[in-house]
Amino acid sequence: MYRLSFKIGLLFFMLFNLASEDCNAQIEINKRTWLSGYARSILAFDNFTNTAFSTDSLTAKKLNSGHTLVDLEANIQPNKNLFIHGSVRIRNDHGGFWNSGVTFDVRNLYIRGVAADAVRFQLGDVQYKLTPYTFFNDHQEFYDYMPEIFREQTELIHQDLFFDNENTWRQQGFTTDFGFSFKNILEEINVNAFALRLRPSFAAPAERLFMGGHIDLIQSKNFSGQINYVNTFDWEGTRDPGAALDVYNNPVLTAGAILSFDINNFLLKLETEAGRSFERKVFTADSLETRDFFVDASLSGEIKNWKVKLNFRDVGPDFRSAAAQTRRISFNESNRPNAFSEVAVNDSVGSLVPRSLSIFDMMREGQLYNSALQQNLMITRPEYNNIDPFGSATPNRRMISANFIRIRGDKNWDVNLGVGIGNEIRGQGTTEKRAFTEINLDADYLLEIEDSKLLNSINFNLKGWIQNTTRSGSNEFEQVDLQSTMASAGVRFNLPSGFNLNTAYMLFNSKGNETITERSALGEIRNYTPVTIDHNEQLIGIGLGYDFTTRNTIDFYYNRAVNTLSTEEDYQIDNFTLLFKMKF
Amino acid sequence: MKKIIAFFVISSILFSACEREQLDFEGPALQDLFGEFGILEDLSVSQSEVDFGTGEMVHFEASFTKSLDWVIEITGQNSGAVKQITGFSNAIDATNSSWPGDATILPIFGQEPCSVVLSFTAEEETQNASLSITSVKSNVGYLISDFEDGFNQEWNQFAQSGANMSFGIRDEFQSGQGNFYFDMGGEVPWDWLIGLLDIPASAYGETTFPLTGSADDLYFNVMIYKPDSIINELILFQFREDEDLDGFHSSQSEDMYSIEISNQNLEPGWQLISIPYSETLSLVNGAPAPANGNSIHDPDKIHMISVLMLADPNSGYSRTAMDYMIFTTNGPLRP
Repeated sequence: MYRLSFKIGLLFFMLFNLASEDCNAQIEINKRTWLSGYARSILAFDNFTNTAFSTDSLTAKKLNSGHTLVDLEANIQPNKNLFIHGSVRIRNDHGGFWNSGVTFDVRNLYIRGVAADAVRFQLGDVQYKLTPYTFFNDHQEFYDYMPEIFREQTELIHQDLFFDNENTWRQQGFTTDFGFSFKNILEEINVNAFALRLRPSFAAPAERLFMGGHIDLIQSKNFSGQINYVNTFDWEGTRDPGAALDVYNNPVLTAGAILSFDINNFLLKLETEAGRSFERKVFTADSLETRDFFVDASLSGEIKNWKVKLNFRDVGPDFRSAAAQTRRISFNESNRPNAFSEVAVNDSVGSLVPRSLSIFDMMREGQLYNSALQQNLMITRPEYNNIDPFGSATPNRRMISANFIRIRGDKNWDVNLGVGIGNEIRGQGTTEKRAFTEINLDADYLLEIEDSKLLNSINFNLKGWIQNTTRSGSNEFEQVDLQSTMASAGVRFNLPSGFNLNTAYMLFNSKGNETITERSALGEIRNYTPVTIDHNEQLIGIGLGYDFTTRNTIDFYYNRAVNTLSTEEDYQIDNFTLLFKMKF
Repeated sequence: MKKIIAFFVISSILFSACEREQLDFEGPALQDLFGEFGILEDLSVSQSEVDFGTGEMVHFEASFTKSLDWVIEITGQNSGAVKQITGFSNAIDATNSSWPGDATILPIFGQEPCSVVLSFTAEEETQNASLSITSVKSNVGYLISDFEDGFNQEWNQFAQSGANMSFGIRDEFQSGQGNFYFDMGGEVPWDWLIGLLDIPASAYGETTFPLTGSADDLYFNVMIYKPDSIINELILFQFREDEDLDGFHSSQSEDMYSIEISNQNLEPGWQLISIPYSETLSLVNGAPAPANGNSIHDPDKIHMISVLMLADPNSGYSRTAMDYMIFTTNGPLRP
């Protein structure tokens, strides 16, 4: 116990010293070994107000929580061709006295290197992706359209779960890449390959592996092609013979091309990807095999700071690609927030009912997120995203979209306005197909203020989207009409001496009706639940921050969530958060 | 440029070959789950008279506006036999309602008029029809006895001299099949045994019953009747094998397998008991015990079948009845 406390104390001493200096530098032990890391401390206080049931005496109204953690990363380079990285996370939940709340986790461990000065490899923990149809980690709902103050808080979850802006999935296994250069016909061939272990066979089911690769064929700066292949499969023979049969196999093969021309500074680019999937599931006595394909083509034209992009995608109803369609959040019934997990309802006995997951919970509760590739399509919420809940690889969609983009460049503003229309390829329970329309906007403006001692600059951002889903039909039970709107506005005042003041307002509203599909263990639709949606969420955020350096900040946030998810779930949460974080 | 064009041409050809499964829609039809119910075609019977004895089958026809759970219940007007056919569909036709004359609830159908009622789990609507059975379904198997031809003099019967004894072939109530059944009842305060019936293969002119040698494929079937008020009956069927084919069963050196049927296994009324011969057990005082012979189920060497009617001597009067004892191969009897 004494030794543990001493080590933690030593770590905090080191961090405190680092915080007081410019900590861009890592801690060099010698030329081949150095330490780096990440640390944060957070304190949060919540107050819950049950708007629907003002005399509620059952729900706990106050909550506070917090923790301090340090990711201590050891970096070792034994020689110029090898690199070893190990990371240990020490976390102490506030209130966990005498080490009772302390956890130690090996967070990251890999070896990478270059063999024969030509073949790069990595073994251990890897971050990997291919294309949006083969291996891709799409952002969760709302993240791309959140004002900065809410994104900052969400990024704590991303840090913990290894979600990055490159859309990689964190997995364990082996990766390699190498390339060839040619004088004729092709300029280069680059090859990436991987073998990942998704499910060990310690448990009864068979070991699940995920293997694949990508070949890039670069003919010239104007033309390149690519071939992608991934396969998720169970290694038969590793299954406990007494275990229930649960076999999965999902190969996906795609090919693509990029064709680009620069005509007097007008950059014309055609990007395509198309491919096929096969999926076989055997679950106890039942089995299912499906095959389907997709086509995705984009044509863009760019001149100076302006760009127009047209996209067409057709993703078959039975197209399945586990590593591209796995979501970060499942909206199944059991995935509930930890904070105020139950709310009292104003019935005759004042029952406690589970609280539904909201945008505010998605912003700050890491346990809601999934980090493992899933074989079945996960449960979605139509009001949050009904058009592409599984990213570009969302099955049963034929969509056309156009984006009008103003690239910031050396100017102070950028805009991305998108519109899309489309429909299902195959109806669900009826020959009538859902039709979709969407509009989205992301605009930023930087106002630089010169000759002011009070203010350096102000960032404005305006984001939002509208999704509309309709399905006609001669019967009322076929008809669907759902409109969801999300809008946010954020202003950040950049003050002198590293201070900043950040404010934002975000509104989400959804109204209408939909039919929720329920799928079997094999993934087949087996039932529908008609739902009427009248859903409103508002988030208000105010933050005061101080940047010691770009890698070392302290922020104080006030958040208010005003949610009307149903007649029973009408409440308000006020939250105060103090967050210190640093990278070194 | 030629290579680029070639690439797109080849790609187009490759992907133009992709085909999707052509389905009207995914999943169950919304109409079936949420649509309004209506009958498009009334219930009808494919033939008003049916001769099951020659292998004829009858089927029913009807159609509805949505798929739903339906039940067709056919009731014998004389026997009270019941056949239930169930399904989930929006149409009833030969593919889902063919009836070869078997019964779901015993007794077996006789040569009799039947009423037919179509009902729905989720709807109150019912439809009615009728048909007439001109000859009953014949069952394939080795019939030990349906007790219609009286007591076989080669059988051995023993009954205690207890109170209210009734041990023999009777027709006092509806039999499981035909008109007669074997009644076993009485009160014996000094012994578990109320009575027994030995049925030797010799009663059929054989040294062993002419059955298949595959114990997994052979099923022993018997109809058992449990009176409403009786809760203490215990019926024991014993199969004595003559492994050395010397014309005798030796309890010291040859196998005897048993089926024990107690009150807990029975519902009031007639019911069919079917069990593969391979699942019969060697029992001593009701508990599994090692067999005394080769420990191999040899149904082609069954020398004698014994039926013992037992009851706890302290439990008072007990009674049961049996009918239509038959061996079938490759599956249980479909009466």
